[in-house]
Amino acid sequence: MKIKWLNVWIAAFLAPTVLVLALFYIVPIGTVLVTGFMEWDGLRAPEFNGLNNYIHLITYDNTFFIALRNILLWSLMAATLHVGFGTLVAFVLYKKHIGWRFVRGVFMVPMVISAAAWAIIYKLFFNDEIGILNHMIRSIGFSDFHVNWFFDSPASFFAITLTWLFYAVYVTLIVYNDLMAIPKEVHEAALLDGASEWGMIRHINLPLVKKAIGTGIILSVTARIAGFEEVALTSRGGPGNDTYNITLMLYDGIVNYNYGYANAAATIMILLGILVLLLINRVFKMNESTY
Amino acid sequence: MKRFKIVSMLCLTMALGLTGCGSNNDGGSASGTPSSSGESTDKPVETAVQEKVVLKIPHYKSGQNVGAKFFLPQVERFNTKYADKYEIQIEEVPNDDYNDKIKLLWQQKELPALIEKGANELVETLIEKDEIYDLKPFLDSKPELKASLIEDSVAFNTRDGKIYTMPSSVVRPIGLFYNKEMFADAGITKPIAQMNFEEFDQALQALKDKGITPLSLMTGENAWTTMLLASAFMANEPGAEEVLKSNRADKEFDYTSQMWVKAFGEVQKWLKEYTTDNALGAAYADSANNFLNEKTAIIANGTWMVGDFSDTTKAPEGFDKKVGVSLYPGGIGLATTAEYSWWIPKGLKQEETEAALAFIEFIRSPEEVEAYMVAEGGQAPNIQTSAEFTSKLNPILAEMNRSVSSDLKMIAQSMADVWPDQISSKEFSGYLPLLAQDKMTPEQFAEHLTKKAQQFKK
Repeated sequence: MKIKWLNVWIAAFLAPTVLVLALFYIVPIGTVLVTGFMEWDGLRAPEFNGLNNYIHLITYDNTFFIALRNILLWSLMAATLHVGFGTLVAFVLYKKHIGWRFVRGVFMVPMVISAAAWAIIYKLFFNDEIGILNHMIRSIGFSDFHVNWFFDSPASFFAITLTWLFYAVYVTLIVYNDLMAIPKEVHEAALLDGASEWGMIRHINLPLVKKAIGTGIILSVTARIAGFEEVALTSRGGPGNDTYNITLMLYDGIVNYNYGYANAAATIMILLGILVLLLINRVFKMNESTY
Repeated sequence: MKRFKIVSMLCLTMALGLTGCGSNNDGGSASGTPSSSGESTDKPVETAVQEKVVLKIPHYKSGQNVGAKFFLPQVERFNTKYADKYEIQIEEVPNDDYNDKIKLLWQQKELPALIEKGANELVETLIEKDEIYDLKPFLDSKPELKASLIEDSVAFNTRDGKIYTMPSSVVRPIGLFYNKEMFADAGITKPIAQMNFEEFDQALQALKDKGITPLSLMTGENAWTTMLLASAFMANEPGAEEVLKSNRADKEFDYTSQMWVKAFGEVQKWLKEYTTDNALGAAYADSANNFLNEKTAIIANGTWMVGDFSDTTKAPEGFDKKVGVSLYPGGIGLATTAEYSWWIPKGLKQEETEAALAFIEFIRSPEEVEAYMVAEGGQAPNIQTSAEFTSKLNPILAEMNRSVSSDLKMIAQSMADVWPDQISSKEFSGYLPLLAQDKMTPEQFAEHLTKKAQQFKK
């Protein structure tokens, strides 16, 4: 009887949280999933149309596959170069060389800049006429150098990539946090056993921050899947479809009053996100204990 | 245990109370009454009738928007005229967010008492649902006002005998501006509106030979200046008159015919040979900047740009004296009468509807129309302007009026007016860089646009 009452109280305390979660997450996601199977212009009542939105989205032209290819390429770069750079910075900061606090501060600065402002900054940075990049290239001897980075093919893809590639603050924070949590005794024991600097990094630090790196990969790759501002505010998916992604397909659906189509695109994004989550969980054995 | 239960119960009550805070509904939005702050909707109607009616209207012609310069003082003039009866209060909304805002307000059953246009899809849905106030009885009771309206616009706004949105009385043909000094340097003497596009092409070449970049073009945003020039070129092609006619309401979804392909081919040539290095990806501001700072000789744009020529924060001192204006080669002016304008939702209180009608009548009065034309250009074919009208006009606007009077052969819609949104807002500009870099032929460009236009065809 006692246990029963306890369950009731637990349920009662959880209820507000569950309610908020349901209201702000589960219901909207459910709406997205359901209306992905409907024809809905946002003005009239939605009508069930089976798999039409998905068939249209995937088979109408090659846009979906170009968007998917771009996401895969960006995800690959995010999981390797982006996370690798963020991890490297965390390891460097962990050594606490002279000026490490300053470096940490500077590295965190982009966190206080919104993605939209960041996109505009890069738009100016890559501008052919007034941008710093081309100005520098021209000033070192290539006086005829002219590339409209966000509007030339294939330069646009690389310009978009550079807007986020070295912006790995979250990865650095997560990995740095795990590095700081490693007990001193582990390093002391390794030193007594004659471990080298590289040996400690390879056999102690890296394995112990493995989960943080896994989390960093999940965050980075899902950010690529859901990335919008850096593309929409710079190249708008162009030139042609060079930098198109699924988020822009979703956006196009909304602009064209086709919410069913947009939500089908959103569903695919959710599925891709879940796939990444499961894959990284498995590869990095996220459910197992570290120590 | 008993104390634990009591404390727990109190905590739970507080938690539920907190989560319940947001549901304390005081909006009354389900009533379907459009928003108005003339009085609380809870007040009895008989007291409300006594009070001044205040209409709060979200509008994009506010803040930094170019239209605010004329519109906001116009609202003030209305408020002064009807000081004891009505007041319009403008809520600033960014231009790009206005349509979404109106749609959202409709979904919340909170439409304001006056809306200027909004998204076509929404207006058409509301016409279908008969949720827009019929202006016909009002216009029938105001014969002078009715007579001032443009017939094509009245026809476009009439469905099943009802007039849903206010027809326009002014037509503002879009042409192009050119730098007279640069034209003189290049020895170009023939008026542009009297040229054909072959001669125009020779003029561009003459400018280029003199080391002058002829055209301010852009491929960013909606590629506005590029699209206008392309529309004028196409309007000269056989068969285009039917496709681009100024009162055409339905959209065009196939661009594979010769006139379209030729126009895209011309755009390709202009982008490759006659424009600035920064045209690829350039936004309107870049394109305008090139003309205002005398880096280019020609820009296609509407008369609303005239104010920029004498604005010394945008152009050098005296620049306005160097600017000429003209219709496009072939005597083409770009304008549309097939567009929605001001409308009033159904279901307002009587006094709110009266206030909204008074505002519409006010802004369409001959004095206000004339003031509008003095500020932003245009012609009102059915309104007798005052004797001082011409003398009040900016010289550039007066020159445009002369060009319209003497050279106009055809008023056509621009491509953006006959394209569906997806093409005008994204695909045309998105693929122009590939066309300019020879990575697409004009035929492939046309096929791509056609495919995309049909993707979301209803």
